[in-house]
Amino acid sequence: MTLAESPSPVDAIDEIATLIEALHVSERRLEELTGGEVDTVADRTGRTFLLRRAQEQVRLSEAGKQAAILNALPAHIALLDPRGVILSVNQAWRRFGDTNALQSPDCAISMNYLEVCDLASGDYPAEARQVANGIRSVLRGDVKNFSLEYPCHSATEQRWFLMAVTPLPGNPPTGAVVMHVNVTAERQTEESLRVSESRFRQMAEHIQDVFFLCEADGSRMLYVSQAYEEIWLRRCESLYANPQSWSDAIHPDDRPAAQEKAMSGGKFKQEFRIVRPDGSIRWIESKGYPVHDDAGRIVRIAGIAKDITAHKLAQDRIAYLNRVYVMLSGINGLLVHVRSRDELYNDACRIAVEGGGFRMAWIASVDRKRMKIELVASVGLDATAMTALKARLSLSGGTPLGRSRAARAIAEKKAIVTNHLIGNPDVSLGHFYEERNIHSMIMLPLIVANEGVGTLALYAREDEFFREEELKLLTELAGDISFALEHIGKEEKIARLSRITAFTSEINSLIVRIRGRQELFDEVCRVAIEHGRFGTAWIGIFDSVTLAVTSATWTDGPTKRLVMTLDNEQTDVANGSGVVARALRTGRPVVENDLASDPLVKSVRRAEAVGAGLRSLIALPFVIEGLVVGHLSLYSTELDFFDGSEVRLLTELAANISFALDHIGKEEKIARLSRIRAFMSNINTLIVRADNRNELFEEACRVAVEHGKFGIAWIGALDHETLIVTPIAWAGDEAEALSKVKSSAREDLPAGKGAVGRAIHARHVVFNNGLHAGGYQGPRLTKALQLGYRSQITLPLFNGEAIFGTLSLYARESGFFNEDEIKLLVELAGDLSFALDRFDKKEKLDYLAYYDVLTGLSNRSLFLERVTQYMQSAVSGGHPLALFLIDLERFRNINDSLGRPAGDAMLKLVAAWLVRNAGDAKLVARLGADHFAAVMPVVQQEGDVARLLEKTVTAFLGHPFRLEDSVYRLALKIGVALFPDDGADADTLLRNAEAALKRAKARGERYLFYTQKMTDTLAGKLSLENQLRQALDNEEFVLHYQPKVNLASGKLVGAEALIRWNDPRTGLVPPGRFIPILEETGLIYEVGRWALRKAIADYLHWHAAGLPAPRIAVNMSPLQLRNRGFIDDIKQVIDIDTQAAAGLELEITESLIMEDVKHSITSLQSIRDMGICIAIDDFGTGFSSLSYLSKLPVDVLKIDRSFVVDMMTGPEGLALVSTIINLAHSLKIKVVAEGVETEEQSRLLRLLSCDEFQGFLFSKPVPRETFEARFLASTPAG
Amino acid sequence: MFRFRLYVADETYNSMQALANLTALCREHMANRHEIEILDVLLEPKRALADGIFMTPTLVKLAPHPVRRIVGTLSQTQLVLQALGIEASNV
Repeated sequence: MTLAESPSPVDAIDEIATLIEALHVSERRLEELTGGEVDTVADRTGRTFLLRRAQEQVRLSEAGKQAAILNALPAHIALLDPRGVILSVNQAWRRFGDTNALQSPDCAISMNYLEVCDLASGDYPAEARQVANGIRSVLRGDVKNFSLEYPCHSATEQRWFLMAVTPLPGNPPTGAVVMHVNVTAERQTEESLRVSESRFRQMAEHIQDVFFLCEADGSRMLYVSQAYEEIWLRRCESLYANPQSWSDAIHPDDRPAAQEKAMSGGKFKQEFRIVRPDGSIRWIESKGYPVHDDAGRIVRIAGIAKDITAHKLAQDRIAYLNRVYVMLSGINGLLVHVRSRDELYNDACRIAVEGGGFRMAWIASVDRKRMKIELVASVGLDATAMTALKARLSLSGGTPLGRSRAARAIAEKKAIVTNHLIGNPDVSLGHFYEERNIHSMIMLPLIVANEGVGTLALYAREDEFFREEELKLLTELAGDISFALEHIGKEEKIARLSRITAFTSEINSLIVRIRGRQELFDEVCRVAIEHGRFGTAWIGIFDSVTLAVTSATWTDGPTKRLVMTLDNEQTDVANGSGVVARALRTGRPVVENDLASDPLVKSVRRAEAVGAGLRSLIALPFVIEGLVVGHLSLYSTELDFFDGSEVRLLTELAANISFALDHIGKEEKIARLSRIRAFMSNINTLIVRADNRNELFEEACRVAVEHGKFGIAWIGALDHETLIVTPIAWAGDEAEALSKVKSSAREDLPAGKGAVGRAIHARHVVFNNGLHAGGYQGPRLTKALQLGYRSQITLPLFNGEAIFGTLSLYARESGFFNEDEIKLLVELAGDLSFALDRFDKKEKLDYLAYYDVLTGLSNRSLFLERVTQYMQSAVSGGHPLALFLIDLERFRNINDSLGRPAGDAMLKLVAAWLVRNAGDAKLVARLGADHFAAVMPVVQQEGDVARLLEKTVTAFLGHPFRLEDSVYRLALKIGVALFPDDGADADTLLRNAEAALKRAKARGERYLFYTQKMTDTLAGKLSLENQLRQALDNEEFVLHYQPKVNLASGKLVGAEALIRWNDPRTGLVPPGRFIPILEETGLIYEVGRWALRKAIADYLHWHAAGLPAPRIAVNMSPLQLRNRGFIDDIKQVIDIDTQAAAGLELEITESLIMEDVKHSITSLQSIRDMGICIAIDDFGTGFSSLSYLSKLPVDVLKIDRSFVVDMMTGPEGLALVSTIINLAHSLKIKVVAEGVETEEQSRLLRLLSCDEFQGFLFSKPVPRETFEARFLASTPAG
Repeated sequence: MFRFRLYVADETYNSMQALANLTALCREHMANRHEIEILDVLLEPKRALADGIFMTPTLVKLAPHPVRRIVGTLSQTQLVLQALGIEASNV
């Protein structure tokens, strides 16, 4: 603007006012137009006008922003004018005015800051004035800025502030900005750094490690700290002089590794030992760091070497203790499961070496009885060490335990420690330990029940290994092992006792069960090994009279030689000092708990036992009623096995066995005597019965084996010239083979010294109750021994005064023949001799007492005796027995009419028949004139009896007895009694059979059982059968005839004969009810034969009567066809008349033919050859037959009634019948339809060209008379 | 791709409003498909003149064609979208 151009001020003011007004209006208008949403507008030239509102906003926002920034700053800021007056301050300034000495609370806007500072009188007036001067110089423009750091400590903390003064633009400046910043944190960091640095320096100065710096190749030592002298005990100078001399001190073991590492050129860290001039050893840890030049080459090695000996030692202590802990825990683990001493010993040593890291470990145990210390386990000992140790330990034995460390540990019951074994004048075997790198050792006592029982020795590589801590732990360990030992001891004791208990209880159960002496002995020995786990068991029988001991049984010992010894070695009971001898002599158990120890006893048996590893022995005598009868000797593989409780248990056991032996003896005696009695009674019977010598001897041997239960019996005959005894009768085991062996009685030969020879010479019984004990052994005895025989007796047999030969008997049991027995047997031999004498004198023995003279059958008494015997075996066999009393009917008539001699002859015939039928003469007897008896010793089923009776009665009836050229048929009546139901003894049984017979006679029955019920039951079973038999006898069977009619002519062309049973009690019985029974019982043959005869007879009768007799078809049973005699039967029947064949037709069922086509064809062919027609009955029921039809020799085919019925119901049925008819016709076979009942059927059959039919349509089957009258009479033949 | 240029005057209230609204609108309706150039007329008056901008805030849609301009704070989103020729449904 220029004044010249300006209007008057008033105008101008008005104009200005107007313009402003216009400006306001236009701006308002613009705002309205843009809805206030526009900030700027531009004119045409592009000048932008910020709208007033926006201007205001911008301004406000600028100032606001600046204020906000200032306020946000943590520094305290104030704006000063050139005079120093405070124009504005930020919030920090205001807030912290009170905390800053230079900024008192009144230090606010409009105050002069310079004056405030000048007047400051607080803690830091100097700084305040310095500040004021600084600000002034800035305001004056002297300096561009000014800053000052000053402390400003409050009561609670030390603080530092940094003040900065910056001028505002202008020259001189238009003011200045003053800022205070709290720099306390920075100052504190600095301070701590300073402190730590000072400490570090201090530390470095006092450190005891060796610092060193050397050339990379080690050729020159550049620096080494003073500590080297203290650690190495060498002068630093020496190291400078010889830079490698530091390594000279290194322990030779560690040196190579240490040197190599130090020279490796890289960073290293290693540990090694040095040996100092005074001999002491220190552990050094050395670290090296390579120093590189600019080119990266290693030029120096800087390093530190530190003495870590103390640390190392502490580590070792811990390692030692750890090893001991490992061992302790290993052994504790072991104690939990270990069950045996040896296992404990061995494992403890193993753990000590493996887990505890000991060089060697061993355990020695004290044998107090023998004053010995014995090595029982060891690990880590070489052979030399072992030998040396054993020698040392044996030195401790026998003397009071006190010399060796082991002995001392045991005796004093405390651990003996030797911590420096090498170079120790107290240690005698220094070199021994040195060689084995052993430096310390300990002997730990093992204490059970407050008594030292052993020692555990441990050897360590380390010097001074066993210190207080280790000792404590190891003592604890030894205590644990001791505890385990005690425990095992108890357990072993229990185990041993339980073994013995198992043994004894097993034996006790055996005692209850076993009945034989030998079995008992064998079982006792077996159980001793199995349950008692004894090494060997041996039982001997003792004869208190002869003082002989015979081995009864023994188990397989550990060695064969021992077994042989047990078997053969004689025991000198009278004077022997052996265990068995003493036990037998005293009758008390004798124990030897260390078989190897007693040098006084020199016995082969004991030597063998010891050699076989047996250690303890007990001999238990068997005592019966004060007499020693034997012994049980048990060998154990364990030393000291038989202790108080064991001995007590075993003594009890021996008493139990003795009791059992006594019992068995008594039982045996009874059994044996009853056996001998049975034997004798049989021999006596035999003597009465036997016809000749051979029979007598053979039977005698058989009876000896069967009833006397001797295993072998033989009788030999002596040849008086050769003195050879040849077996002439024998029975039993291998008797046949033994019978080939001859014996000699020649005294001059060894063979003559056998039992046979001796018996003959002595003329006296010779017996041997211990065949296995030795003596002359011929082939027979050898064989007998092999077979297990142990006793034998030889009895001389006499013929008058002369020796005839010998009877020898063998028994399996040893000691079989005792006084009573021998007496009986001698008696028996006497009886045999008597019989022999009789035979020799050709005197027939009077055996009337036993036999029926007429028939030779047994008489009543012999029969009853036999029945008694059979009853015994029936009892033991658990089966019934049947006794039959047989009455010969009408015998009196024969006797009366033919005379007595004829009667007697007849009786003999009957007796023979009965014997033949019974199969054995012994089963039949003649009890009275016409009374016989028979016994059925074994009745398997009651039905058997009835069947036998039926069979016998029928067979007897059918048998023609020929007497003086005449044939007689006799009948029987039988009374039956069954054992045990009808009587407990033979007499009663016979009496009841008599009663039954009487009743049978009275009732007219063929036979009756004593018990009515039995009769009824069996009769019920057999009634139909019987009735059918009777029906046959009584001619109750009849034939009915059914006519066959020609379909075309309607004329009668034939008839089928059908069997009917006209039971007088019930009337006509249908064939289905009795035909099967006829077949089952075989009566069908008889009935079939009858029917055949009857049919032929009727036919011939009609023929003879001039009637037009039709061909009669007779049905054949399958059984008949199969019967070989069938063809003959037919032949017989048709042979009666030449006409017969023409009148006969046989009907055979199709299924029957098919069963055996080949045989059928042959049979049928031969029947047909006789001129008899053959018809196939029930044709169609076996379908396969059509193809065979052409091959079968048949004339007629009968269509089964079922086809006739089916024919009417459907086309298939019709087609089938049609086919059958056509097929039959093509084969020239006539077809007959059966069962035709309706006209319709007959019509249809006629249409199908069927030839004939039969059935109700024409007539049902009718009796002969009816048939004759109705169908024959009206149409005379012609 | 939408290209916008917003003419503002410093940080005046309406300009900042317009920028804020534009940014929001773009984020919602054409995320990642837009570029916004901001031009301060106070700093570059000649450019504004050349572009024929007489008021701030003014938004120019440069692409896609046709070019449109809108003056104001852009607070009426639907109207702005219509004015820009962007149908909400199309977007």
